[in-house]
Amino acid sequence: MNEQIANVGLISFGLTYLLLIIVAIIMRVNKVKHGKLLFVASVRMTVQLILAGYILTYIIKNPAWYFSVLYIAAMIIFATVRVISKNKWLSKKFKWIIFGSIVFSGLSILIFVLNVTIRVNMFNPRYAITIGGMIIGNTMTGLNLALKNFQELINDNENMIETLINIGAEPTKIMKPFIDKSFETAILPTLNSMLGMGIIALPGMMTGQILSGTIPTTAILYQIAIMISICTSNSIAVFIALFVGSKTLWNKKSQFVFMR
Amino acid sequence: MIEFFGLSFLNKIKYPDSKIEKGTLNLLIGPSGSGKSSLLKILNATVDKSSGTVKIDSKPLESYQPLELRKKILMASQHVFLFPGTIEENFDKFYEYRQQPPITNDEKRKFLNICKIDFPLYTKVDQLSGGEKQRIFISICISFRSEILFLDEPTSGLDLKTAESFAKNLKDFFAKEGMTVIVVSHDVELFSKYADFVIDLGVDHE
Repeated sequence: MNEQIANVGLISFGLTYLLLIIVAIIMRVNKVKHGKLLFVASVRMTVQLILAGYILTYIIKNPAWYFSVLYIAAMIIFATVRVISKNKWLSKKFKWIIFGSIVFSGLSILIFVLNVTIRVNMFNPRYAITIGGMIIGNTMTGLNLALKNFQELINDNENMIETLINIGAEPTKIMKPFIDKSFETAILPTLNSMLGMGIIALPGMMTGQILSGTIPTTAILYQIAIMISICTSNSIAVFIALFVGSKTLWNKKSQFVFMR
Repeated sequence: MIEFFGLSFLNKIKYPDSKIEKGTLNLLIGPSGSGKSSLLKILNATVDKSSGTVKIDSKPLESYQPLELRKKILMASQHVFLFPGTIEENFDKFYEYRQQPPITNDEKRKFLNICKIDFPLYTKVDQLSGGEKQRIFISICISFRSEILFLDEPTSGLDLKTAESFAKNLKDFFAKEGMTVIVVSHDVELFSKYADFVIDLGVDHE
């Protein structure tokens, strides 16, 4: 069933980059001042993916368990760094909690999917790295959304927090509505994308598998398993980060020590 | 009883040594920046002092569990916060946050009366003026009947006549309940009529 996918020639591939000129023109017309970002993003994407392409080719040809471990460790570290750099308000402790939440949720879900759903050697890089990447990448996006929303809510509701502290409310109780709302914000996009899946959009992973010759009925099984994994990993990571992380905004004397 | 001596905040503001007797109404005055609100925050343990000793009922402030302390010493800040919704819902929400069973509607009305609010309980609070919101907030705060109460600028948004009867009602209520109260107010003339003691932060200041 694995009929070869049409190979993309270098020159015809290069022509794809011309499409970016259209983006640049539209951005200029709309006075969006991110021309530099468009350039940097395109270059970074190209370089990073070329690297990933070569590394993955090598790893899949020489499938050793430590490649999977190293690659996933690198993904977790990069995901953490991205989340932290986008949320500069986080305290040192909070940053470690975020790291922990990605490690715990990402790894446990990945191990579950590889062993229970797909039933392959979980150190096989072909599965571990690709599926791990999807889970960790999406968890990162969820955390970003959640933390950004959480910080905005706290800033907007400073007066409410102060008032509730003064009447003797418990910090966990005061934080609860903000945690709930941020959790919702982080999880809704995943749920919404599940709603439209297969009708409005064929998801990337499934498209990739079909393009490379997998029969669609197999591809959907993978896709469903991945979507559920992403949703779960997202929920766990966001919940841990917000629930445990929000405790770092308070000291032992129940004083609010959050600094903007 | 609240006592503090050698008390300072941020190593800048030095407070005069004071003793606040149980069941008294105290007016705390001083120019802006003299640390009136900060003093209240030190006393309810929401900020830390830089030096000195604070004793509440002869026990050092630090020996209290902070949440218990803030139930015993309630602070009604001048930055009023009410939840979106009705007056009744606001009472219930605050009681829930304080983990206390809600009070009856009759009781709610009683406290609103003390604070010169005669709107029905189903009134939505966002329709009300700043001064009205403040008095609803104070109604809720006094309804907790805490041993000690801090009121930060309770009459700031009020006309003279309302402020007058509001202050009198408060004084009567505090006297009846035996509450110890510290009021921060610019309205010195009004509150010095009712206050048992005046603490002036303007004098003993660096």
